[in-house]
Amino acid sequence: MIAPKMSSPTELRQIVSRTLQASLNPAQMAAVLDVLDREFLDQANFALTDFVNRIDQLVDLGDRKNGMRALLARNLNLVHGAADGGSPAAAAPRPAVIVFDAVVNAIHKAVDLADPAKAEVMCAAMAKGLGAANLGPPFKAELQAWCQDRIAKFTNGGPDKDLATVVHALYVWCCNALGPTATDKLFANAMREAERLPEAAQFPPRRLC
Amino acid sequence: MRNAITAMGRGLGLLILVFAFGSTAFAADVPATDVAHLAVALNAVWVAVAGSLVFFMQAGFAMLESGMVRAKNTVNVLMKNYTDMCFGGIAFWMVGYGLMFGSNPSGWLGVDHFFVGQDHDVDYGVLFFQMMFAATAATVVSGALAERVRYPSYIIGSIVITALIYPVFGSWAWGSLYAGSGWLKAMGFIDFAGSTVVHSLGGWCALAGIIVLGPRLGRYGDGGSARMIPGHNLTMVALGGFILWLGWFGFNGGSTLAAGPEIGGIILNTHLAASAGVVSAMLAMVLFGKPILMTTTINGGLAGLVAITAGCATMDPLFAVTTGFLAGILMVIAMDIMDGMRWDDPVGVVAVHGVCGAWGTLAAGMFKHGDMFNGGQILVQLLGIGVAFVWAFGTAYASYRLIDYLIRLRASSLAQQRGLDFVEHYEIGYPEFQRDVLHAGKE
Repeated sequence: MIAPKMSSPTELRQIVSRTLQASLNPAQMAAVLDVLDREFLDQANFALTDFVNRIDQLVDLGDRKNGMRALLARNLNLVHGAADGGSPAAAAPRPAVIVFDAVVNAIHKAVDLADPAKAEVMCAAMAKGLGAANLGPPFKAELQAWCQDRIAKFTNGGPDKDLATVVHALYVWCCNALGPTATDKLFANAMREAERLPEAAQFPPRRLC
Repeated sequence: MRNAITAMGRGLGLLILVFAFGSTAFAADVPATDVAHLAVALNAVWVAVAGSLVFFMQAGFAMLESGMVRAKNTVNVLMKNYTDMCFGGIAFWMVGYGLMFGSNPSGWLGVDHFFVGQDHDVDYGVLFFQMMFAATAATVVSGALAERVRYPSYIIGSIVITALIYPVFGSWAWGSLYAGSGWLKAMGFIDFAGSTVVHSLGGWCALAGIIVLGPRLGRYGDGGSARMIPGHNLTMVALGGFILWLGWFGFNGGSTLAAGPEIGGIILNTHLAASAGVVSAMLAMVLFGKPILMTTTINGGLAGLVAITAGCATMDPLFAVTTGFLAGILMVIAMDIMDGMRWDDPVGVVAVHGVCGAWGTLAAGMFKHGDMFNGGQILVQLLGIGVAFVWAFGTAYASYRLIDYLIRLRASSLAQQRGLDFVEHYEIGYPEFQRDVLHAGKE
């Protein structure tokens, strides 16, 4: 994931330190911060997934890896939102994008529950397919970020047509990976989940199919 | 035609007399010309009833096929079954009947009796009956292409089958009703009611369509393993099986084109073969370690029906049972082979109609009453089976390729996602139910 550019390296270091405090012992923390200082702080954008992979190499996170990445992503995004200084109303995504976000995450959650390895493959396939996809650059960037950490929120999205295109690509992938019957059930559940959102009144999730 | 109607009316009157006063008094009192009229009337009535039973088979196919597909493709399958017989029927009346039954001096093609009307010397009952057969050959294909074929492309394919592919082969095997004879018929080819002429031909056309179309989205896994895509309504499948079984009594029994005593033997053989097909399909599933699926069991019955169609008038009941029994087993094996080849056939058309039609045609030569295992006859049967495959598969493959090139044969993956009901017809089979499920439509 390419996380939002931080306002300062110090701020980023503080967030990482606070986030990892409970998970690492002092020696591990020192090693991780050393890596952060040497390899990541001088970059224009913070590569979260690469960073978590480096931590994993250092301290063998095991099944804590995804959780740690999620926690870091959330904390970094929260700070970023505050640092922008924009009002929440101004930054609020369109209902279609909120619904899209819910649908995509529900699909991913269901695939992950069924087979975590397939969820990884799904995201990798999506990321790979983005190069050739006829989507707007901001939406592509958001998708790229989501494919890497599955945590990033969609805020800009793209035109409704582009959102539907991505959902269809997911449908085709799921059909090939899980079979058509399982896919139809999975998508039906995802739609149902998204229909509970208040935004579904303005943008029914079925429009994405 | 008017004469035929008058004869039918007089015949029916005589029929009432028979029932009212008893056959002994009737035989003594009624002149021979009236008896002849009665025979004409009975023949006409029987062919009309049998043709109507064959027409009702369309309902059987519609129920069977629509039950075997997912809910989102129900209307599409029903529309295909409902309309292919209409387009196909008109095409057969315009061109097909002439090609198939018109005067056939060369043995290869009928050359007259197109756009049949009052000017032609035609038994309309027979034309109606044969029209239903042509529709059957076309509609057989429907199930094989289900859930991923574009509706207009399918209809064009049906018209090609009923106007060209079916009648041309039919002219070889069943010859002319007027002058000349088909070359296969002249060689002694036996296919009483159309195991090859109707069913194998439809099955091979279906195979060509399957290959050109490709499988449904996600039907086969990465390693090529087949994934079940269960049908949405097995009750409809069972009802379809029953209707087809009933219709087959007309299909085979009506092929006498006359009301005679042989009808009893024909429909008995038909029923026995179907029953044996069911039994053997169940046995095969047990022997092959498979669950005893209702859908395959019903296909076993259909396999027996298809197989006995060629020899139902020329076999002893024991061999009808043998024919049906082997057909059930062949069908189960053929379905596995189809999946092994990654040829997606949602309802088992190729296994049931193509393979079992071929087997039945061979069996008709092998088990012919009074002339069992005649080598020459068997060779003629094999020739007919082979020629049917080459002709039907070749022309259907070329036709589907051409259709695909011109207007696309395969529905897009998005159409498959949304369901062909919504995309092709803007109607869905189960609106209340499907609104919750998926792809119910767009606001």
